[in-house]
Amino acid sequence: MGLGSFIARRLITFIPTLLGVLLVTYLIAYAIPTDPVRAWVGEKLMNPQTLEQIKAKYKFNAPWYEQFTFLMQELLTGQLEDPVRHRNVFDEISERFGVTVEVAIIGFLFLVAIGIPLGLLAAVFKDTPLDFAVRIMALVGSSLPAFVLYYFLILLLFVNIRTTYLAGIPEPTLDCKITIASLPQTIPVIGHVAAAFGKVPMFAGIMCGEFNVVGDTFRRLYLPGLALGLLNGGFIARIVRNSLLDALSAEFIVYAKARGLRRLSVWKHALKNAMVPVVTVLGLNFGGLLSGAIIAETVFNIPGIGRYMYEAIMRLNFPVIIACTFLVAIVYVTVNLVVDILYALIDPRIRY
Amino acid sequence: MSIDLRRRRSVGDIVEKRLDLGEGEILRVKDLVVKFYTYAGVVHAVSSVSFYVKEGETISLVGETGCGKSVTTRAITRLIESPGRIEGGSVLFRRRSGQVVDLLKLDPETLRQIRGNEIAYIFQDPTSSLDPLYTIGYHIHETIKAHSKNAVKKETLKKAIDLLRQVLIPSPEVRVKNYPHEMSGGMRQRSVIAISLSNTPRLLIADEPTTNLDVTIQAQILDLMRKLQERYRMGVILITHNLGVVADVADRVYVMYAGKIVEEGSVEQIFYNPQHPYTKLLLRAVPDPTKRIEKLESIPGIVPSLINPPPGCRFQPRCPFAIDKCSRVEPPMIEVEDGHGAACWLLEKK
Ligand SMILES: Nc1ncnc2c1ncn2[C@@H]1O[C@H](COP(=O)(O)OP(=O)(O)OP(=O)(O)O)[C@@H](O)[C@H]1O
Ligand SMILES: [Mg+2]
Repeated sequence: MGLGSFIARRLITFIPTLLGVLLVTYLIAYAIPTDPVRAWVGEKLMNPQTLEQIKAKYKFNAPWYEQFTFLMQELLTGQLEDPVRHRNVFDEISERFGVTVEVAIIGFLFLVAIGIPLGLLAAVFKDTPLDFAVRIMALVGSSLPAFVLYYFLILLLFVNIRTTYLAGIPEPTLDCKITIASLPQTIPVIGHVAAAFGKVPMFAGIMCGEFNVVGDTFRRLYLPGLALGLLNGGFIARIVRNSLLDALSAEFIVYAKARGLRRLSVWKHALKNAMVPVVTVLGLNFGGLLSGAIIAETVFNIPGIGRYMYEAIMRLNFPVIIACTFLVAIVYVTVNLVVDILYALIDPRIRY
Repeated sequence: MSIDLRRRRSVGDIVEKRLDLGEGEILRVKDLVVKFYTYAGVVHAVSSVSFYVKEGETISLVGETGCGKSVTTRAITRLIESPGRIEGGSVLFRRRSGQVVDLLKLDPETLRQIRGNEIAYIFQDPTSSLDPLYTIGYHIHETIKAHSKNAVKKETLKKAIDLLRQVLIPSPEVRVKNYPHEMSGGMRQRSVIAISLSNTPRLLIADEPTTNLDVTIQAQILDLMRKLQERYRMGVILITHNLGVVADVADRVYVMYAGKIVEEGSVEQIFYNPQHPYTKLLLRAVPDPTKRIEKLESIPGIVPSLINPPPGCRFQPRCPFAIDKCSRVEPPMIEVEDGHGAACWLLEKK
């Protein structure tokens, strides 16, 4: 009850948020005193005419708000072009986003598999060396430059033990891709959703029954996944530990014992109460992973959104930066919405 | 210095010698010691407290805030959490089966079967006693389920509605599905009372069960407790700041001061013939029995720190009648009449 109108209300608040994010990003990019068109075209192909043409197209000679309006029009009508690759930005993004989703899922699995058990152990063995180790891990994870850990893992697991490879991304067969691409024509509505999910190679593999794709994907991407999990796992463990200890010291836990509940039921009360803050942090972390781990994708040679953004930034590719920012902002507000819905499902005190 | 040993004996001592519970007794706490190991030091929260409860009887623990009433009653079923530790004493309890056990030595599983089933609590703060993520009905359901494996949800729900009706919650069929935050403070308090009655305990420990209730509801709840007591021969330990309630429902009273029992006796003995200076001042300071006992400002001095309790009698620094001996030797419980004792050196001279 009320969930529908809650979602509708929240979706409306998305609009000013997204526009604000885009405007701020644009203004920051605009503030850079440089000539982006030179960077787009490259020194070799440069000739004054094309330069002027591109400048006119993107209204570089007009005031900033005309430029911004133009970018927004192109973006919102889905026509924005990547001026470096001369292709529609959304086509580029949809080709890359699938891999980022895979990295995000695998990274998230590692994050949960590392953070939650460690957090529970740290709470149970509070103030022991184990608890202390988790504290250190969280500290190191949030202060160590990510690439140091990444290169160390590559050295250990790729160079020395060769348990993975660092090139290419496992894909389903061409037949499978064609079938999925044609889904929107054969099935209305659901076909579109299925096709969108099919952009993720791993999902496409599952849909076509080519399960080896899933295995291969894990083999290829477990290293960045592990790296991301290790980096943030300590932080998650601390959150789990602290919220569990909070819950365990609550008066209603003593009262649960006073009522003679079995140990398992007492833990059920503690764990459910500890879940509320954990869900929030995990949600935001998943949002972060979905937005493309820029350094991880670059170091581990993953052709995802993160690397696309990295390249766009290097070449002052404003249209791509704007489009990627748009995507990241959408991911974040959506994840936030999902977290809020989960919240309301766990905690009856929260009204929507 | 010669002391008449017979008069020094505590009322409790006499029965304890039998190594069993006396006639009609369901609970006997003997020399209970609870300490909290905090950073600031060791808090001597409960120091050698002894009392007993008979079937169908209500005893009352009274005393200023912080004197150890809650800690004492929680220690009965070993509900003291770290950094607290129960460091001594025994708690004999007669089970439904008639078997007498020492709760402080009992294995955890048997103790669990007694908690919430044979000994039930109403905790001091009803709001924090309830898990905010579960309904009242669920609380009652799991309390029943924990003690009878084959309890069915449909039946426990019916039982829950029945219990809520008994504690005078309006439209219990609706309220049973309420979460704690959807109820008023008074209703939460009555819900906790209902939860505590889920398994019709033999001993009910009620820590200020009626503080959030208005006078009419309070009277009705106390009436309900009296009825249940008669029907099930339930023993009740009642903690309250309200001396009017004590006078109204208690059979016997234990007066606590700074972690010790300073006087014990029947309601009549305590109210009409108080012996300990603290009890006397307490009764004088709260002339209106419906008022709460807060800090007794009218008694000069402050409650001693339980980290470094004064040697001798703990009330001595505030006592207007203190004699030299009081600050050196701890006074024993001295019996003044049958079942009435006070821990005060002044009585020795009588
Ligand atoms: N967890 C704890 N850590 C340290 N000291 C504690 C703890 N719990 C209780 N105490 C101490 O034990 C003493 C007795 O506390 P208790 O709660 O039994 O008092 P009370 O008589 O129930 O008071 P009130 O009437 O306010 O409920 C207090 O001095 C308190 O400071
Ligand atoms: Mg208390």
